[in-house]
Amino acid sequence: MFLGTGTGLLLGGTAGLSMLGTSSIAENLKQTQKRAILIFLGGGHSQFETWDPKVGAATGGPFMQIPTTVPGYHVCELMPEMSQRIHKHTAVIRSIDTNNTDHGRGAERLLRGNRPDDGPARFPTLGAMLARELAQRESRVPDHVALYTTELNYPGKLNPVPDFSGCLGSRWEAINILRDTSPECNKLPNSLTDLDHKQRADLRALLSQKFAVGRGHNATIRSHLDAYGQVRGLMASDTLFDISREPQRVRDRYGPTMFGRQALCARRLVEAGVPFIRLNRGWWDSHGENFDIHHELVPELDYVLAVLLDDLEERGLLDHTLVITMAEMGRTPKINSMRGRDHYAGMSATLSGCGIKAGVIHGATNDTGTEIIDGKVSIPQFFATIFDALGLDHQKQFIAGDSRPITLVEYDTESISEVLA
Amino acid sequence: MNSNTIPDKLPVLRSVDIAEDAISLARIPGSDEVFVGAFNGMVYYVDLGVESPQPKQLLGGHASYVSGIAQWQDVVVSAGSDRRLVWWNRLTHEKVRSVEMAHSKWIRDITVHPQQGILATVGDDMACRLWDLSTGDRIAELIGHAQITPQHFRNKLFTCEFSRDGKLLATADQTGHVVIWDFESRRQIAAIEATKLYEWDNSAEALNGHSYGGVRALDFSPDGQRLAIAGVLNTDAAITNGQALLQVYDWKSASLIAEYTDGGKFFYENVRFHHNSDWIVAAPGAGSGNHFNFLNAQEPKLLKKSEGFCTYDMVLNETSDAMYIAGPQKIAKLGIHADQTSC
Repeated sequence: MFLGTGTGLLLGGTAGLSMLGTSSIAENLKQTQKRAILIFLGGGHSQFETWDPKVGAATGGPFMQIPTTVPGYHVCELMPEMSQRIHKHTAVIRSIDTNNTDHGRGAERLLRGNRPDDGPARFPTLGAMLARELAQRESRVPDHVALYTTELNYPGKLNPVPDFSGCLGSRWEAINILRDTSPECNKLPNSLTDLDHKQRADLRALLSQKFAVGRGHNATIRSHLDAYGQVRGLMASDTLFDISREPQRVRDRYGPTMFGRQALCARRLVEAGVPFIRLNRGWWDSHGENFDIHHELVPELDYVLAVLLDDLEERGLLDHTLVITMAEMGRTPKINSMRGRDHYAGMSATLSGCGIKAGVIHGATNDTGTEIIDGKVSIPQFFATIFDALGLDHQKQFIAGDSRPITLVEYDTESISEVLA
Repeated sequence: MNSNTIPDKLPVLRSVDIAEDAISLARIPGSDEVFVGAFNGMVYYVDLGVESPQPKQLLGGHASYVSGIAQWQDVVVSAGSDRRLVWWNRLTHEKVRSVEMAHSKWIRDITVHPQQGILATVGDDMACRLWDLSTGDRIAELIGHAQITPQHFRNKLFTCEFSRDGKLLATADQTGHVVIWDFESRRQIAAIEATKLYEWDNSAEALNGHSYGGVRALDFSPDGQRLAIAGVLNTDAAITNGQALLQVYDWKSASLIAEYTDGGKFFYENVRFHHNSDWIVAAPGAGSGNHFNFLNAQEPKLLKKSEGFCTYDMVLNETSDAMYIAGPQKIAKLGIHADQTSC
């Protein structure tokens, strides 16, 4: 009940948000609620041009490396901002084995902790699980928001895959926002007044409650009711998504790109208590011109990630917010005839903030980046580490729609203790 | 030259395989001797005039890709992604001097003034710099390209080229902005917006949040009146399905005279006018293209599509009947006349 007077607070529109910034409730929120931001680098970023450079090797590419604040550890020269912050906030994992090199299936595995989206269980994605585990009761802010910079192949297709709540029920589905910072569906149509909408919602609730009588244990009905129960609160939280309410200097700090603006939106959402936000920055699939693509995308990632971490820290939020960067795969050591790198199962990822021992560089690849030679990490291990960093027992069970108990992460999975604070 | 004399497949007159991809090349005029820069930071000397050419590796070059190489009298200069310029003695192959941080970001291309001992370099710091080849001194800086693209990302200054008479210098960037400089006064005298060679998420099939394209090669016509501009058009998210694009402009009026596209999933990375303007040859760079396209220099008409292979750098000889190329693990001399045969 982090927002004991939450309904009025958020229905009050802009006043709600400003109160969050000053009230003791907000201070309490900062101290207690854990949150997570996943920066998903759709398409698959190159580990060579980010966290695991191999300068001088035939596989290394043209970029140089620069030292970081962690002695002996270097990153690609395209990351000057993060190079100065790793000791403060971040653990780098250079040895994730994605065990898959397909965009769709790779993303499914990475987002579901290596579990399938088939059979009766319908495993949820990380976002849905964390939203459920971290959400506050009676919260009137969204629990799960996903912002995408890009679409691919046809308008409206989220890439590589959207989040999915599966057996947890639609209550935990994401609000998906494509190439914008606020959800289009959060606004009333011109033909409807707020009173009309409220009366319709009341009527719907009344009819739904009557329908649910005697069907109270039906998971589908419960999921439906939960989802509709959020609508008024979500619409009232529209101002949360409005980054124009931030001072100009703050907007300038995040920069003019869509990713920067969406990161600022994510910070606003975190500050208001949204437990899980996915920032999907794509498209990194650099089969051709890998170096020019990374020349453009990595500095943006470096800058926006550094600003986001700084801003969260300055606002007292970083200790309770885990910021994850990962993709569905890495990129090949071999440079192809198009100066590109293809799909590869070895990937680097980072964890920053909540529950993380800053400055740890976990795992290693060989001199050419063709093999993981130390500290190989499986996807379930990576997931377990995320849950543990957020203070959640990764072996905690939830009950799927068919009444079977399921753990958050595969049985007998151990987290990477080295990176946990 | 009649286009009928251009062979269907360009004969390999001489070739050498090397372990790395060769990406830049300079030829000693009147000879088959070339200096080549490679991915591994090495500079090689090869004489393609001998029966069994052997690449000689020059010592102490670059820490990263050798993106440009040029020659003037007894001086050879190489440039790299390591921001470094290295002077070499053409005869002894010894390193003479190096200039660290010649640009603050990658050096993308270099070219030598055809009559004077002056080197022009362009880098991702968006500057064109002029250097005295005798002393290694920087003598001028030309600023005419935006640091940032319209979408707020870093711009890239890909290429530069002098006119044959040395009176003009052209520089071109990722956004398709081409500047023509009066060499003597160092002033910008014209500009071309070849925006068709630059894209940002404007294809229904490629909304990927980054740009693609850019002007990759330039060449003035022998009379200095026209400028050929080469690159890629309409590629996809992974930059694998682009159509190579060549445009020829009257640079004074910035008007497009001719345009040619090739649908085959590659960039044009090199373009050269025949020494008498009989044709323009556009060479396939990164990608799956393996044809050299010989085009009418006056209008968008393909004269000949000749089989070849991926070419990262290319120069013609004085009579335009042979070309010297640097490519994936290969340095070669190719014939451009039907009478020539592969070795």
